[in-house]
Amino acid sequence: MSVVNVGHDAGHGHDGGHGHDAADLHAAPPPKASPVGLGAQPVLLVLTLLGLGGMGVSLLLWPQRAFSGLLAAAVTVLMVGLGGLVFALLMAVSNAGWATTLKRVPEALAAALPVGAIALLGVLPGAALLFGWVEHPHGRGAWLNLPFFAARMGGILLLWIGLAFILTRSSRAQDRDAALRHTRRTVALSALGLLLIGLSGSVAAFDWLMSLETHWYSTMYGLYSLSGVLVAGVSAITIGVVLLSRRGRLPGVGDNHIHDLGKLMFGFSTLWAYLWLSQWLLIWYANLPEETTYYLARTSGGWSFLFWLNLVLNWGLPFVLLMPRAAKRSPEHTLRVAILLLAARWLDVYLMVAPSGDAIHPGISLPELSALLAVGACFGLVVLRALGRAPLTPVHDPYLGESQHHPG
Amino acid sequence: MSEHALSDLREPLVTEPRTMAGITDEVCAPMERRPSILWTLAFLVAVVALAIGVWAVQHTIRKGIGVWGLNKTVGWAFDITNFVFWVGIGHAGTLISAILFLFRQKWRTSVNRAAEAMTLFAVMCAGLFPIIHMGRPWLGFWMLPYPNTRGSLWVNFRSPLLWDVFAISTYFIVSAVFWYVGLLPDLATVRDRAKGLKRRIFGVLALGWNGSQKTWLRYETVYLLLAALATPLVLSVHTIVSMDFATSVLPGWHTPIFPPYFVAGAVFSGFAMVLTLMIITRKIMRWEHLITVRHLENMTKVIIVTGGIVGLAYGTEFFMAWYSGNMYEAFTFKNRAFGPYGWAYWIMVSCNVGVPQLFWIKKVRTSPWMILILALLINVGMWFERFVIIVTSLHRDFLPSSWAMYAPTLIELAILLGSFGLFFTLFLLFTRVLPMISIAEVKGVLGFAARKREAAAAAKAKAGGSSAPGGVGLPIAASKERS
Repeated sequence: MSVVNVGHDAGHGHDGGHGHDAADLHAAPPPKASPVGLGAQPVLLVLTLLGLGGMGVSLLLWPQRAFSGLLAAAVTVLMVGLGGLVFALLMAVSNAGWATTLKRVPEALAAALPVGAIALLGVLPGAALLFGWVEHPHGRGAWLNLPFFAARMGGILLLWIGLAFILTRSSRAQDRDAALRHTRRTVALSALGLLLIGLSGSVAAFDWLMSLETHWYSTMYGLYSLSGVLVAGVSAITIGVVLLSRRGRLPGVGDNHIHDLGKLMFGFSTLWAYLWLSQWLLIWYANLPEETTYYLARTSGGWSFLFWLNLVLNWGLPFVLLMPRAAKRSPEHTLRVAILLLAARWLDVYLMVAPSGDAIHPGISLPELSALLAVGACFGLVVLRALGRAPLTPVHDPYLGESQHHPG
Repeated sequence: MSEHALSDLREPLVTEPRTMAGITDEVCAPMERRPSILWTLAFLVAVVALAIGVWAVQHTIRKGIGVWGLNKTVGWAFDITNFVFWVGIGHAGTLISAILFLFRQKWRTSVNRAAEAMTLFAVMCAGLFPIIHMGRPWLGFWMLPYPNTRGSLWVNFRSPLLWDVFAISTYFIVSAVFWYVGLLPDLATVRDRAKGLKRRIFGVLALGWNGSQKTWLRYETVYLLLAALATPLVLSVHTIVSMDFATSVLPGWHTPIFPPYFVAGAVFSGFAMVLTLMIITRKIMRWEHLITVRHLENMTKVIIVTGGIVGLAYGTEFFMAWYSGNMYEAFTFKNRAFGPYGWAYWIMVSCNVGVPQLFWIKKVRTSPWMILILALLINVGMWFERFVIIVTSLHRDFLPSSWAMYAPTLIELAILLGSFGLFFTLFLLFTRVLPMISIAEVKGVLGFAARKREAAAAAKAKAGGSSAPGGVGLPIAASKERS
């Protein structure tokens, strides 16, 4: 019995109700927030401004592509932010312990959701250029009309931002008062939040992306887009974690955390491919004219190359690159794959958006890239600011000990 | 694996003080005593049901498929419903043993063995239906692609029904291997306790397991690799089952969401069946401290999630039937809800979408009897889901003059009864001849349970100044700590 107690006194366990005992032993300095990426922030600001300039020019020259580029950039960034939120909620609802030491990263991504929201709302003035049903009413006008569409968009964005706000507020409050009730409340919030995100995410995919093809429909579109959210979230978290721990800002993170993130990237990328295949295969097989239009547009003209490239970049390459165990445990390697997956995420969204217009060939130049630059850089800036607003190690989280002693 | 840093919030997975030897004794006990009256009665009932089914199958094969209620419009109904139902049930086992293993969910330890056994038996039941429906099952080998002298007779690789043959046989083989590999340490335990012929049989089955460090190391490597290989199979099987329907052009069948929706539904129904069996088992065997309420609660949470995905799919299909403006789609779904089979549809919706919502309530999640009732309802609901998808999409087709109704004949009902008979016969035999709980894996979670109990007792002693805590079960923890 005494042997057992020695183990406890050494700080490896602690008795119920005093959740902070062990945490104090693990992290000697009191929780304090300090700025992150001070050098990168001005650069990102300049890039945002440059991107905005480019957007202004393209708006005058190619308004349709400017809005389509903005939509693709906004949805990509929203996927990253929502991915961070979903990751944090999933960890909470499953009582996962391993990711606690890095949880500020997904929280910061979620906190930057408003950037994507503003960018998306910026698409509304150009809706008539993108959504065919604005000027030629759809048979289901009760659903596809601009006021209701904008209201749904606003409601969904508010919901996500609201969930992110409650989550980060409660997580930061625990830094101050070390109360266990925050953990319990977050679990409840997560269960409800994931339910709502499942529903709202489906509606968002149908509205913002699927309805670009006025008469096309696929029941898979919601889940397909949500799988992209998971990939985007884990990839961005991996980038954040590797970059921060390189600078010694995440002392609790070791190879086992990188390994887990690598496994999740591998798994979610494969989940995405599974849903991609299911949708494509069933439509190809049945060969119904009202369904094949979507793939016809994307496999003809210059689009065909990007269509297959998308599958290679989003799944083929990451699958091979992340297969070896050593690869998933190497921070440099996982960082590269995560950047690849994020770039591929934009390509996937671009292919959901751009071919719906009149263009026979893809054009990726100023309108698309400047929007991506502006929205992406601004998102990065807000993420960095959010990271600086709370201590990077949540010292009073009851699962911190587990996370720092990640057994692999 | 270090358990030292486990959070305070973690609960032990074994709730009574037990030594390692105690666990072995408890789990081996049912194999070493005479069958109880309850077991014998249950076994008799199962065998009688199986016999009725065997009779109905031979009747079908002798007279032909005409003894079923099929007609020109509904050419595929009860047998395929039962096939999909059983395949779906067979999804929980491998999910628990492979996916939960990869996700480091330790609570799987005391339910994985029985769940995997259940999976194998369910897949066996499922496999029977297509073979019976062939009418001439002795030609079943024609489904296998191999060089033959039957002229141009060759399988159609473009048919999802053929993919089914591959998917399900692969799933069965991998699940069986995974299950068997997981059994090895326990087979050796049984061998070491047995005498005579039993010892020799288990000696062969245990493949010379000697419990050395090297053996364990190889075992764990193989187990991890098999888990990784089995994981995609959890998704592939029901994906391909869904494609039996979704590759068609029939409204109600052809919809791209079918693959993930069928997989979620399969896991949903599989967990309901695992819960049903586990709740009865833990009660009869008095294993409430091994298969704890927390195990049950975790499984109900999986049911909430997968039930949620199923509900989302129902909603999406309905929305899209309206949104698409496709009148055939719209008719099919209206017909589902308000047509002559509307009652089946509402059973499906209330059991699959309504019932799982009760699991949001903690009191329901932690009451075994409530869980048992709800799990049974979910099993009923999932059977009806397949019936609704298959029959209501077929019975009113594009040509109103060929509209028809379908009702199963007594023979078909007898075959369904027979499949339950087979399932329970096999499961009951399993409870007598193999350890129902993974002894080796449960031992792995004992140390934490003991330390946790010790810490709680110490805290109590400190607070109340009461007598010293009992030390039952502590030798394990202490010896582990010292080593």
